Amino acid sequence: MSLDSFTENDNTTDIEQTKTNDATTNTFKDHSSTNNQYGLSSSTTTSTTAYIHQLSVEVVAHIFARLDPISLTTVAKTCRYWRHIVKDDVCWKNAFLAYFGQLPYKRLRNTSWKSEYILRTHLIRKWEKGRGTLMTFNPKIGSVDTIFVDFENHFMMAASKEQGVAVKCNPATGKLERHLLYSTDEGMPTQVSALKMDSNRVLWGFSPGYITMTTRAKTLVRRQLKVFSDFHQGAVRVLCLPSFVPDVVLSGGDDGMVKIWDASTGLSLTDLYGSTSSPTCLEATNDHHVIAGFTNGTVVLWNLHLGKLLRHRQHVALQQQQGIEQPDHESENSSRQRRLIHPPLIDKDTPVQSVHYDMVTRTLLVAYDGLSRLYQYNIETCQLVAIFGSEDLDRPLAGHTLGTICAVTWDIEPSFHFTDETVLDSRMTMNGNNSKNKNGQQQQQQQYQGNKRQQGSRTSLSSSSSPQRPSTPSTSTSPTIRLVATGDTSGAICLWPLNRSSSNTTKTDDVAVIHPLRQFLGHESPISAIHLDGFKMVSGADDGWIRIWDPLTGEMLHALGNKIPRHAPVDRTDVSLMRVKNIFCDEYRGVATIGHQVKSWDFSSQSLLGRKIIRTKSKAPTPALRDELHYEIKQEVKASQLTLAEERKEQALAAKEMDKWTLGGLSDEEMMAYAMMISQEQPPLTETQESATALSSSSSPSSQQQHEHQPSMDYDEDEALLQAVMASLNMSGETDLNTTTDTPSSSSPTTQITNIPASLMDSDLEWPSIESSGQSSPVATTQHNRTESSLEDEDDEELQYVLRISRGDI
Amino acid sequence: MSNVRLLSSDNEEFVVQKEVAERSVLIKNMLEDVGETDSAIPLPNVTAKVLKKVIEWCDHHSSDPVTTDETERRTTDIDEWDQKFMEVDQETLFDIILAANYLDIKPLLDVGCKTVANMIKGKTAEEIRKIFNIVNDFTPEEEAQIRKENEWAEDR
Repeated sequence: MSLDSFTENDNTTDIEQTKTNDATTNTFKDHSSTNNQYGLSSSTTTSTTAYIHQLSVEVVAHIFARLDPISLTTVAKTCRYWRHIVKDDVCWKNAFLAYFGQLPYKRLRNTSWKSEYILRTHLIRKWEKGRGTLMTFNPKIGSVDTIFVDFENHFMMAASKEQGVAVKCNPATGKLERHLLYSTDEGMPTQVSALKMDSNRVLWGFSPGYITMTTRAKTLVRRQLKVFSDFHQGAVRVLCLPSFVPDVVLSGGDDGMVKIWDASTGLSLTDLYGSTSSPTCLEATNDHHVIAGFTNGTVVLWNLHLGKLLRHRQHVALQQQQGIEQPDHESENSSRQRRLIHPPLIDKDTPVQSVHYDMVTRTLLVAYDGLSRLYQYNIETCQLVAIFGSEDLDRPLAGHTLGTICAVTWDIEPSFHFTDETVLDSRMTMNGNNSKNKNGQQQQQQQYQGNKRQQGSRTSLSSSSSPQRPSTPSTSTSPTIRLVATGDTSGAICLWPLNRSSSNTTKTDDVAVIHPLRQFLGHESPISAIHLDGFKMVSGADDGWIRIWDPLTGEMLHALGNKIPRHAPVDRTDVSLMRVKNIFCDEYRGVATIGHQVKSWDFSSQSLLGRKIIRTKSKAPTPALRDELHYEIKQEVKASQLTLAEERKEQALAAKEMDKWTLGGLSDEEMMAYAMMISQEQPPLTETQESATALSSSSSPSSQQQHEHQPSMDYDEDEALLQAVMASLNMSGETDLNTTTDTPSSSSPTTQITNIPASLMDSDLEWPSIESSGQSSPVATTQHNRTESSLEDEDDEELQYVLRISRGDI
Repeated sequence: MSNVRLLSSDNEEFVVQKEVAERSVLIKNMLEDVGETDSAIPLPNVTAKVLKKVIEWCDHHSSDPVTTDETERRTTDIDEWDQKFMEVDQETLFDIILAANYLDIKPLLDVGCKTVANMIKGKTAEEIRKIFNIVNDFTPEEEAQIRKENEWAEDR
């Protein structure tokens, strides 16, 4: 660096100065005046200068990188300039780095680092505090061997080999479904030798060699138990329910055979000869491999397209039905070729413990009983590609040194690919001129090259680990790392990088030796189950403890114990009672089995809410409540009857009044003519009164209202006519409508139609609808009268006024 | 032990030991470029007052091993001496940070940033504004928008 850098730096700071707001531009002038201030607090009270705005963007970003997400958002709320800085996602990425010490192995949110940071800290908080539902319940089926959990639909299945039964229950409430799923038709608990379960099927294998399958259904009747038509020459040991071919299931027995079944018919599709010993694990993969591990340490592979096989068989069966015989295709035999992977140690008996297939790298991870290392094989060539754990046991992070591997899991969910990574990093190097970020970018570029190379030559994984560079362990973690977690018999857990292995491998010959990213001294007894995802690792051990870890920082977030009363007559060394056999988790929830118990937890904030919902749902309308409702309804009916009677009385009174006012039984025509005459007589009067008094303004509408209501009065007075009309309900409705609508139009030439009260019109038009709704005639009559009376009440005053006029009062 | 002469922006000269001065990557690179020289190194961006503080810090930390800061980045706690050292008024504090950035003294920059970060932490926006004399230049509409954006922070 020379003097050039001076000027450069000057320029940037100058630019920053101009960027900041007016209050900060005069900071330099104020320098001398504020020199006499001491202490931060005193300066805040007296000075008016925001010194902090002198800092350049990268320094401010540097400061912000040390803030927790809450403070970061607070900072963004203070002023525009800072908001602008915090808006940049790099700021959040740096804050993430500062908080976690490294970038995540896998992104939880691909959109921005802000959301990633917030989500992670949120999840950590949730899992650390562990607030929410935590319950243990006993499904009463003996030792639970397998569970299947569906959080979406709030159910889980738990099954036991010992009794050969499965039960459906709700992990949130612990409620058990009454009807168990049995392995046999008798509906009796029967011990099974193998058990496999998915969302709606349970596959049972028995020691005599036969296999049954229970299909779960909503109703008891529709549940069905299917007995497969063929059997193994020995106990069924392993079963497989491939999720990608719904109708094909696989089984492996002590006879060393692997049988493939058509689940819909229960017929055997094909037999595959595996090995002379009994199988320990069986897997069918989406890209047409069938993998079986045996107790003598061999892993056998077949290339087999299960879907094609099924279709072919169905086709053949159909043709046989039609009487067409066709020779078997030769292609089938070629696919039957089996390939073997021999155990690493021949002299020792090392049964295959578990086999995991990785579709991305097309490799197999094999764990053997009694060995402390994990072996990775290429699936095509069956060659050893990598060993997880080094021979040199004194080296730090050597892998499992004390115990042998007994549990393996990995995060099989596809990890995100980061298209925005280069963009972010280029921005970062533009912003900050510190060398570390540049370094980071270089590494990422190398990672990319590594990735490309790997895509190019997938068949040999060793090439991907070829770029050997001396680098510190902390920088080797790029976000695309996939993880494998292994637990050993001493209670230690190791976390390994799966496919991106640049610095954690030391190559010997063709086989890469992979070193763990992190080691956890988790439990005091053998690890029995591990769950791993992008955010957390959950481990369970033989002592009944479940521990939750943050793989990123290596910190333990939470521990869940198996609480047994101190003096309970329980043998704490009994593995069948204490072992954590299965762990199943989603973002906030988890289910694990400890011996005979099922433990479930829910740390989401909705858990309490959810419980409430369940409670309200369960509260069906009780008989007492129903009675209350009935009573209320009765009361209402009574009340309405009373009001009806009163209205009738009023109406009778009003009718009497009306009789008085109609000049002792003047007929309608006469009344009409009279009113018309008056209204015609008075035009000069109405005109003057319209402007002068309120009295006369009502005169013209009133006369018109009178016209309108003549039909109604008609009914009232002429009972005979009313009865006739009521006899035919619909007819009367129509006539009503006609009369009411006709009258105004007929009277329109003589009276002002423009000021018809709208409410009156509405209530008039309601009539037909009331009557046509099919009420019985007496009720209709009362309704009729009621409306009438109310109308008449309103009109009475106006009518009286008209009549007063007619008597010559005015 | 050779000494290095440093010249502040207000033409005050400081004589420091070379290894103390080389805590600054900028000076170190300069010395490497120029080689042995008797002339004072001009530092036009740093005043005498700030330079004195920086030299004080460098002197105290001259024996510190040069660490990769990756591991200690996470913590926000500052050692006692540094904490006392940073008990200055805001103007000096930010001048030190600026100088540390300019002279490329990473540990000092980190200490400064940590100090400021600790001042910000756990405060409300209004408190931060008060501490640093920041003018709230948001329009009401912007304020509303910010409140909307930050709803996640409240629902804890």
